[in-house]
Amino acid sequence: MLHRALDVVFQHMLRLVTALLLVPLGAGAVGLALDHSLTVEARVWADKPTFTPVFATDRFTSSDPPAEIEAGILRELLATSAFADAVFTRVESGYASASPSQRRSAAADLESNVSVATEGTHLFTVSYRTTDSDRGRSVVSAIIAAFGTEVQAIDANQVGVTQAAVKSQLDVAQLDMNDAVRQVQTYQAQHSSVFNDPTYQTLLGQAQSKTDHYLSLQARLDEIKGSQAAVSVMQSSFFHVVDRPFVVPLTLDQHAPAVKFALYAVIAIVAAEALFVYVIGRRDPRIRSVQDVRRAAGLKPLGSVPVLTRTR
Amino acid sequence: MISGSTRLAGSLRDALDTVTDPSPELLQGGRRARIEALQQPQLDPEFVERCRLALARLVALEDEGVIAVCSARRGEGRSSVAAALAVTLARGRAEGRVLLLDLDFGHAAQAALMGVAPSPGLADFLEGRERLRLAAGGPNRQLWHVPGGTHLGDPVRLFHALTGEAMLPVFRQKFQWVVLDLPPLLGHPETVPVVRSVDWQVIVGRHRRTMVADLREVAEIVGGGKQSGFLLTGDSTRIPALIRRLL
Repeated sequence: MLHRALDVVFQHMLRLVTALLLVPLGAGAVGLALDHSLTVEARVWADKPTFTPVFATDRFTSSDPPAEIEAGILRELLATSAFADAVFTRVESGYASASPSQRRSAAADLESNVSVATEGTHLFTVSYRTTDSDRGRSVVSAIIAAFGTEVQAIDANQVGVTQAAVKSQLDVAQLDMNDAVRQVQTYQAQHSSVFNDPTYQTLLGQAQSKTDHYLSLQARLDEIKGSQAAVSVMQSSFFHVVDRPFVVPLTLDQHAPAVKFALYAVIAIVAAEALFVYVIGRRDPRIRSVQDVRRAAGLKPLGSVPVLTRTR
Repeated sequence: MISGSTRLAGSLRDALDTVTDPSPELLQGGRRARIEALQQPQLDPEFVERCRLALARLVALEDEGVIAVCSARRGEGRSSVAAALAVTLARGRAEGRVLLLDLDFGHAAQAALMGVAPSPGLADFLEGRERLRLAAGGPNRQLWHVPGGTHLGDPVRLFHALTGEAMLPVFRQKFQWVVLDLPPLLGHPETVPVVRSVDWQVIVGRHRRTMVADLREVAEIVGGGKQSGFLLTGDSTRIPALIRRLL
């Protein structure tokens, strides 16, 4: 079968190759003619912050370039419906009352038409393919805004969680401190001379220790509150838009209908040609190789002679 | 119209003697038959070389015998292969004579290949109308040819005459190698006894033309075995030689 298939392939090689080239080209041309979409793009600068609050994000501690880190987070966010809601709420005023199916389709639109790519260690681009340039600009702006809010919320959430934990420790420390001070005051009231009393000295030491602990927690909490305020300020230091959303000239990327059509055509034509070769090789009742004769008729092959050209 | 087979075999032997081994009396009397000259067949050297290789695979080191070249149907390159085999035998494998016998009565093509007139020939001789006509050529006149001739009767009777009275052995006695150019086997059952009586059969089939089913039928007729081989003609495959070697 292999000999037969190869014979068919090489017999029709020119036609097969021509079809393999022309059909995808034709499909690509049709895709190009039917494609009225355009791409809106914005360039964003990402950098490692020079000042990082103690309790803020730790994502810049890795050795990855900032553009990779930010682009990676944005890609992950684009796959979430909550992020899509946040984007389209900014774009469409009536989006809040949209039905679940409309929300799903909006999320799918965002996932399939938005692409995030890095251009170096600091720059990354957000591209959105649409047929409406104004809406495209709005969507890209909304994506960047929602991304900033989301990143800020992530950092703020980290600080908030730490703050809540320290606050609960502070409350406990305050109670302990109050108890210890109360014991010292009670003991002092019950005894006339306490300055050389070892019990009083012990109680006083405990009260001072618990007060110190309370004060240290208080200082830590104040620091966390400072971080909370720094998160929003810090945001602008490592994330800002360099090029506002603009319509880019026609580009053929993997999302372009012309490229998709051409790829589908290549797959289809390869499948059709494979089927053609299989059917001809399998069904053609004529001899295509000496091996056919050995297999089908059991005759000893003596070789082959070329097409005869008579000569003097 | 064909006279008694015994008499035909005898007259064939006499005719061959007259032409190939004339007696001294015949030579002194100047009665030796005039022998026509064969022309070099117009065959591509590559074609002849491939036929030589095929012949080597079939007959190995044997140095005499009868080879039948047959095909399932017409137009498959049988006559060219038969001519090339005869030329190859005459050039390299035979010290004695090689006879190319055209038995495709009615469609004889060897005469044109060899550059001689198609008639009279074997059919005319078997029907008793003409003397046996032979042509010779090649180095030392080793290659001999009997044209098919023109038959007036049923060609089936010609084959009966050939096989019924063992005329092939007469040819075999006079020639070291005999190459038979037979009519297509399918539709000509009269050729079957001839095919089965020879030493080797070369079955010819044309690339992308001959049906596999036809070849299967031919293989059943011939009977297969070590004395049969298949030669693919008109090989127009475009598979690169490198891939073919790998396969």
